[in-house]
Amino acid sequence: MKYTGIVFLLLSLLLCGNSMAQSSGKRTNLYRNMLEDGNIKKTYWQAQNNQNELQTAFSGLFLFYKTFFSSQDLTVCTFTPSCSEYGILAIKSHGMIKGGLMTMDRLTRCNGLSPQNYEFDKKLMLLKDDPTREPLVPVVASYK
Amino acid sequence: MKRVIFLMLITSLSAFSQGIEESFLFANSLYENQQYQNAVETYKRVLFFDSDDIYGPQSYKKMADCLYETGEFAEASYYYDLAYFTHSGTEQADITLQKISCHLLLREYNLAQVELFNLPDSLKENQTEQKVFYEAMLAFATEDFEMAEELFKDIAPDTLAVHELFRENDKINKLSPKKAKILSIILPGLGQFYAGDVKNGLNSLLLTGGLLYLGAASAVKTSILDASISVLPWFQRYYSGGYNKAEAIAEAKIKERRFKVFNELLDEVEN
Amino acid sequence: MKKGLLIFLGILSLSLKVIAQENLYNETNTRKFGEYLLESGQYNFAVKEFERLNFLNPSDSNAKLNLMKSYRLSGNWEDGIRRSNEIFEDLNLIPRPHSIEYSKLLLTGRDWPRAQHYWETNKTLPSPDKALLNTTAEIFNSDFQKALEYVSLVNDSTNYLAEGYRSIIDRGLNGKRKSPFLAGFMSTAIPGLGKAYTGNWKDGLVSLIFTGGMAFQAYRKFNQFGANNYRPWIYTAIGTGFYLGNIYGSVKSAKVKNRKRINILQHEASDLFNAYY
Repeated sequence: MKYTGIVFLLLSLLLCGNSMAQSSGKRTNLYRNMLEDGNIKKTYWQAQNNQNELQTAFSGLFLFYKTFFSSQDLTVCTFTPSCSEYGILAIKSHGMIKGGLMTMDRLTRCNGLSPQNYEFDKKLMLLKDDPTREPLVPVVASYK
Repeated sequence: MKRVIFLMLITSLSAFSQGIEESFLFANSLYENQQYQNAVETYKRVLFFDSDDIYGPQSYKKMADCLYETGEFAEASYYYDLAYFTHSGTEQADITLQKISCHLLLREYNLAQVELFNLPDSLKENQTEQKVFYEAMLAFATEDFEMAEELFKDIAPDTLAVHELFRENDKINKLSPKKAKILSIILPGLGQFYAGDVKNGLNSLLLTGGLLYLGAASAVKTSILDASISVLPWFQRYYSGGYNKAEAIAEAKIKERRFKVFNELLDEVEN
Repeated sequence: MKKGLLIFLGILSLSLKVIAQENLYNETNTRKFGEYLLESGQYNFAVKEFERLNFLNPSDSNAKLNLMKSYRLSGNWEDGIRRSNEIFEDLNLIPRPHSIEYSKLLLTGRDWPRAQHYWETNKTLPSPDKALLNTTAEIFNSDFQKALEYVSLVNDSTNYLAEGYRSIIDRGLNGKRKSPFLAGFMSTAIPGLGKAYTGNWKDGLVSLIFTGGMAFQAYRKFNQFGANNYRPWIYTAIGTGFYLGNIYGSVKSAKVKNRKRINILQHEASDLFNAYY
């Protein structure tokens, strides 16, 4: 056990010894991202991985709306995911008819009058309402 | 019988390896070899079994360094704090400098400032250089550009280039988000053009213009009431959205350009 | 002679054992450190320790229990289930605490059929435990009728978990439900009424305004332009969308209301379960 330890040490010395030199001096690269980079471009994962033509078509509509309309607006939706994201996710996971109905219903619920009905996302300061997820109560505690 | 003796010997001999002292040395060697994650775990084990508090004072600094190297700056800062009280003299200054770095990387500028005040007056040459570097970055991050310029000129070899970069930085100050907003209130898209975002400027102009046309056409064809019910809400939404967005775009542009200047300053320091 | 040598070696070995206490990686110290990690919430690190402890001494049954627990608490319950199947020859014969821990892993994974199959085939769990675990699974599967059947197998009136479950099941079976069908039907008659019935009258009012507004606009446009113009049809389409969406939404609203009522009971059940086991 002792010898294996020594062999391991020697090996690791051999492997890592040459990278010792760089630790001195001002390491400017660490601070490259210290300031915010001001990038406000968004990417939409919701429009990716389309399974069929219908999903591609709706994803196209979604991207069109996001690029030319939603981009000209501040956050106006009270929910996360937003209504348009909810729409594309609902159609992708429940089909056009049910997903469409869910979206129309969501549009009427997007009024901010009943915040007590939803969980709250503290980071985004928005109400949580995900069409793909049903809230479940955990059975077993995560602390004992 | 022989087997029993053999077993006895084996069990007692193998037990010699990796006592607390050896584990500590092993952790140190892992640290020297930049196996930081493993080193942290080994130090944690040593600290747990170190009931007489012998190894703790020797471990904190290295543990903090390991955490720093693995990007756990908040936890690193905690261990630097512990290390500070178990070291003295120039080592304390080194530790404080590392803490300042942690706070800067976590964007905790006030805490970084507090630690800077905490540094002793007499520092070694390389420590002073490090201190000025941190002060320079802190001044830039807190938008004290006059101070930042002075400090960066102290540490960068090419002061002329630094001077140029700060003149570039001065130009950014001229871009005003408020002005962008007002411009877009006057004419949708104008503020975006002013901030240098042509794509969003055109987008806003066409969108609000289109809605305005739609409203006017519908007012002529049907009635003003109809037009205001069907088009006005949309126009209002994208008009006000547009000028608020212009402000946001200008703010982002400022950040983007500052980010660029900051990185070019770092290039200058590196040279 | 041989005997003397043996005794001498024995004493030597024992004296060396005293020094061996210092070895931080031996069984005792690994156990100590592992338990500390488990207690201080460093679960991923604890997994490593108990894996090594299990390797050092595969007959240490407590190490296995702690290993399973570390896997579960570190959030890797799937790995926990997999490892449990590897480290035990027959999961049906493991001691009660281990069976309970394995059941907890299965319950965390919410794979009710697999969990219930395990309790059926297990030979070490006493039958009250099996009944209580089955009841738990059924409560979280929202099947209170079956839960009642299982909990009635426990006859011990001093068992507070069983008593608590009885009360929860009673409220689950007899509490006020909102009928999704009625909500949908009401919204079919008057948009938004179904939502008001389920308690969300504000959402209902918004639905009524949206649908009504579109219907009103469509009606006006039909009068203005007739059926051959596109304008009324746009309003009709959007209005129909809101109308149908609201019927769907009312049904959902009733279901959500019922789900939330049950979720409150499940939270209560979870508290009881975690206090008991």
